[in-house]
Amino acid sequence: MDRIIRIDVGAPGGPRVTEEGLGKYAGFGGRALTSAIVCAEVPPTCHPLGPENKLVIAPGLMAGSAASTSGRLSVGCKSPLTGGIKEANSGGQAAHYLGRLGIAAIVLEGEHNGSDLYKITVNTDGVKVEVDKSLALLPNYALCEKLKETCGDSVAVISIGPAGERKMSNSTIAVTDPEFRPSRHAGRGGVGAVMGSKGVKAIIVDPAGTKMRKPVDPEKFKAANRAFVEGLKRHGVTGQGLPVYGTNILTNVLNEAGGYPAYNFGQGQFDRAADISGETQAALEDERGGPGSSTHGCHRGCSIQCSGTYYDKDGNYLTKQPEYETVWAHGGNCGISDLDVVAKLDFLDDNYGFDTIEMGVSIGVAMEAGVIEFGDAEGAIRLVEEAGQGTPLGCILGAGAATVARCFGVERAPVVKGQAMPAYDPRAVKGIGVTYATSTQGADHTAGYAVAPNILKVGGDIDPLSPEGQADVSRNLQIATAALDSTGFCLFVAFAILDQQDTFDAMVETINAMHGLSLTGDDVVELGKTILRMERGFNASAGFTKEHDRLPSYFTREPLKPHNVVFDVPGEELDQVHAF
Amino acid sequence: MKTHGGGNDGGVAGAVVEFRTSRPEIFDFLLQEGFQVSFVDRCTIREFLCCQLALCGDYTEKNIQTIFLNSRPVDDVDAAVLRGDDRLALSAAMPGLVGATMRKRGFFAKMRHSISHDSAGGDDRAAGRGKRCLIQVKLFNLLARDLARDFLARGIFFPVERLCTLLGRRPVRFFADLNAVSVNGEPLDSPKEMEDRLRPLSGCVQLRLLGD
Ligand code: SF4
Repeated sequence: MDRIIRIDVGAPGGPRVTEEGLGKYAGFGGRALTSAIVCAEVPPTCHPLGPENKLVIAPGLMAGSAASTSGRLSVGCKSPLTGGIKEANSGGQAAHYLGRLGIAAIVLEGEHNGSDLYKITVNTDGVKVEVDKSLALLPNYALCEKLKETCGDSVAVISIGPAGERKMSNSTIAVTDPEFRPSRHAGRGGVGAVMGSKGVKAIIVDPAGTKMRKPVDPEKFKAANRAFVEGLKRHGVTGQGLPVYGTNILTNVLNEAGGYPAYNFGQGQFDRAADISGETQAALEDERGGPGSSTHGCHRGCSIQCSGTYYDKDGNYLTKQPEYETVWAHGGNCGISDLDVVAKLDFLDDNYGFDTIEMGVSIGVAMEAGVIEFGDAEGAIRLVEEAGQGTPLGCILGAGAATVARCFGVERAPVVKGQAMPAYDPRAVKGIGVTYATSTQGADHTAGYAVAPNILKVGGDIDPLSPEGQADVSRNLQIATAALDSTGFCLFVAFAILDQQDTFDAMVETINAMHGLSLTGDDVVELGKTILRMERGFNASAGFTKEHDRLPSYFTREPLKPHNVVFDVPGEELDQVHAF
Repeated sequence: MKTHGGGNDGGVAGAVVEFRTSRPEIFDFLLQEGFQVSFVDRCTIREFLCCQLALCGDYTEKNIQTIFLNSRPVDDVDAAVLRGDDRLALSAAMPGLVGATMRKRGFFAKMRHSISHDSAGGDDRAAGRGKRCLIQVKLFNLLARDLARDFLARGIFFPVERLCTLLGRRPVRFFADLNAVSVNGEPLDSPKEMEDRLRPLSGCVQLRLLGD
């Protein structure tokens, strides 16, 4: 994995492919690499859809190896949604295939002129760029069906749907899963629009003729990986909770805590939460698709398998198992309690290429504005269809929740830096509000995941039960997460490595054995800090100030039921998060 | 219709449904919604789990990782006191940052300090201590599966109207897993009759798992 492929879509005579070594980017993978390239090569003040922006697609450091649960893909650029730097993360098969091809990153750059639409094929022979206008405006599922006719289904496809082609600020980049379904998405921040602005519809990654990457120290790697997998299986969350119920296991718990944002963040509990809980969803999937339908990996080699397959009443595939955030965004957030409707919306989002969180929150804001009523399931489906078809109303919805609020004169837009908040109300869980406010990515739940800060001791020991020091916790989480995002390991390994020192050690040992390194916890912390400093620097140059590290003021003014709490972490404390 | 329940379990039910099954976890759909169960008033959560339900030791420590009392995350099971009509929700450890935040005494507990259960104050334990009354319990995820037998064998109270709605959504397999179902002591020809027998009733039904 030592090659960067650059495709200049604006070169005279048509797209030009060049290849180079890692150079100054050596040692970086995943988010570290996407952010490093964006920071070094993209002018922070450029327009996200202009020729100066670049789209960087980078697998993590462990891609292409046999390391368990390590096939996550990072996509980076200047975000059309936030105007700041963006790293969006996806599962699917592409990361491992890119790793096996020795590719550390694909960079789409330059000015796309005219109406050509490109299909790019990457294989052991090199990189081929072809014009294929027949792919125009195909939704992701139809696109994959069409590509299958010529490429088969043992390749991975990285693609955009109509939303990306129309350069909507809410648009994803889809990645095919092990069944060749475009069900995994680099969802957040409008990365699809940047791919669309380069005129690229699909990248086909063909691993034929490649082998799994060999570790520098195979014996050590094998032993460490075995211990890592054993640790994942042993832990209650990664070994049982996630495989059995998926991420939607969180619905009942967040709802009980009064931190489940229902009705466009209007209240902290949804009275029909049990109808859309992970428990209900898993039972339905297993009932319709047979036992085991609720346990599935987003890519081969995942030992946790938090995903699943959702079937309709007749047993036909409808979509992959909707995530907790999706079930919330299209469910409780919109007053909808029908899992079949949520699954249909999930499919439509994947097919057109919309981020489910941003689209669900956009519809919630539209409901608040009276465009349709809360709970109107058919209306919600109609709105997503309109967005997919690019009608005038659909284009407003496809521009994201902040734009919907502006267009319809609504104050209550739950966004930070233009990006919709995920499924946790920051008034009930203030620490996550600190992370929403201060993340370099806009409101983002993954920006502060639970990645072993007690083991890493970032910033020293912390008393968990004292209310003070939320900035410290959030800082530590953001640092640790940035580092993990660079490895390609899925964030869901977090619980096992948080609770089990030996599992954390095994994970670090796997990295060391793969690359012949001797990384310590301190190095991991330093990598995380470096990434955050780069990203903060980019955002500052793009015009972000500390005033952008704030939640919308209505969160400080309007109490959330049932606890009747507001977000009251002072600005001065928020300003301390990045003081390192 | 004879009225069942009452007595020293603290509950009154419009009907009692008794049944046998080797898979009590099939009732997880109602255990997650919340049911009532009798308990001795003003005990701590640990006393309730350990002394009244015999859920002691390793299982409680290792698996009951997330506890809510009246929607407030609990950190100290020895300090939080249960009173009649309280709502107690029990869950295994949850994924993600917010899952970690909700855990008892978890590393991220401070992130939800403003909604955490405060066991200080209101120490009126002596006043009504020892009286039998009802508490609402919710069992989520793996705990619904693991503890279904313990709670159902004790007898749980659930709103009959909602039970009928939920029974109407059950797949055929659910009924195939039930044996010897009786309503108010009268055996049913088929477990599927349960819904029809209960629908005219109102209030709560007691569901009780019979031993082998
Ligand atoms: S745990 Fe879930 S999201 Fe993570 S790699 Fe596995 S299936 Fe994908």
